[in-house]
Amino acid sequence: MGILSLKTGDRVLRVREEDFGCAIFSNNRYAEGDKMTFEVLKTLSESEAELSKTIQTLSCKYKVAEKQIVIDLIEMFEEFNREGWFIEIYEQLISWRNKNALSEPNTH
Amino acid sequence: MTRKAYAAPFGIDNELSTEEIISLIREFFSIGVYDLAVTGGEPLCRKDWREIVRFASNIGEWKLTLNTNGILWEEEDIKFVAEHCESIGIIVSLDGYSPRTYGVLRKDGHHQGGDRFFAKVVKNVKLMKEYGLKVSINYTITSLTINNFFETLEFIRHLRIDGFLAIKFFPYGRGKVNFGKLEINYDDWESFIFQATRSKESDPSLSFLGISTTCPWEFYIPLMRHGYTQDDIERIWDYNTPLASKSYSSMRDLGCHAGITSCAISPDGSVFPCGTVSARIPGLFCGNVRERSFLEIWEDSEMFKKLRSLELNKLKGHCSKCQFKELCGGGCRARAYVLKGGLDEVDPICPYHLSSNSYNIQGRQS
Repeated sequence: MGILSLKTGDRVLRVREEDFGCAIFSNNRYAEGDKMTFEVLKTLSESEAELSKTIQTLSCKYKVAEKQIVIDLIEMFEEFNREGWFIEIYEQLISWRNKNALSEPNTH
Repeated sequence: MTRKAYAAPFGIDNELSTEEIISLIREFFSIGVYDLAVTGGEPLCRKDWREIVRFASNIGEWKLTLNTNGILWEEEDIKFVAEHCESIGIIVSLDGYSPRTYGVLRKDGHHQGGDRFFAKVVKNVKLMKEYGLKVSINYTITSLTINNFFETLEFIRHLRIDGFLAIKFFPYGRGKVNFGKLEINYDDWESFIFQATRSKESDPSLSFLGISTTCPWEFYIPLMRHGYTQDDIERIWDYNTPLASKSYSSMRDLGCHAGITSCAISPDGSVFPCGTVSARIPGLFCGNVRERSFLEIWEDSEMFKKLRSLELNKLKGHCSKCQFKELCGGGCRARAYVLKGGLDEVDPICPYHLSSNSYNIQGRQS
């Protein structure tokens, strides 16, 4: 039974691997995620919450461009944001997306 | 998928030692239990309660509650919890708004009325709030207390507590002995929950009010008969059937989550599937944490396996044909076992079971 601990703001979330994916909880909230959610949170935990490392790892593992990984992560972390979780990660993702959008060559 | 464990380390012979309880709490935390309720009997009867509660509170972030009758607390106990157990929620049983109404369900060790404790319990609740503790009150709804509920609700408004939970009576222990005296008939329950829903819906200051039932039909059938939908019930009461969870319903079509998301540990370390029947029912015994680890029991116990293999269409009665089957999922299995003697028996107080004619539900199905 895999249990992860992840810091968000001033709390520590725990993530428990389940047959359906994962259960995510703090001392006052409980939520469930699918297998991919667990995979992302596990990678985040192994990367010690370092976002760039997490994006690189997921990109290599699933052979998907980093930009696409970020788009998918933004969607996932929007859900967490509604629970008040991983706000800092979400902001970093938005920042990463904006920075990379600006650095793309203008084709018009 | 353990979400909740109840630990009742108080009240029978051969109780777990402090070390055994600490070790059990450590195991609960390490395997990812989300919600631990320390209950009884009365937790404060145990001399080492402070040590146990402090350990459970400080091991890490999880939902931790201490259920108490509120009688034995002295100010130094409250101060201790405020100083050392920051995250704990205290739940105090208070089933009345006056010594007389409070004493209806309560007797002391000499079978004398419990009314003389009312003032002390109220004083302790106030003191707990003064010390900044998170305090809720539980009110057991029985045929003897149902008529005092709304006056008690008015009374406790002034205590500025964090939650007030109406818990529908369950026929277990002394409750089973007095089943005929305490059980609420369906019509009274319907009238009660409808009135409570209208009150909560129309008064935003009642956000602290909640209702706890052992199974989903006790919410859905009476309220849908009054036109509420599943969405209304979720919005007003923040209540949803476990079957609404995709992960839950992918594994199970029964609404009873005993042994699925929760279980109970009795004072001697015996594991049972459900907090409402946490001791003295050998037929529901799942194992003992003195003989095997909790996780081994949770994963391998024959009783848990039996419970998890129950299916709606294998239950006796007509649950598999009921229009509420996707919300209710077969009623309360503990009640079926306690009152009818089998896990696959009908929930004997289900109104569909009691009535030969189906109720006509006018509510919009969501």
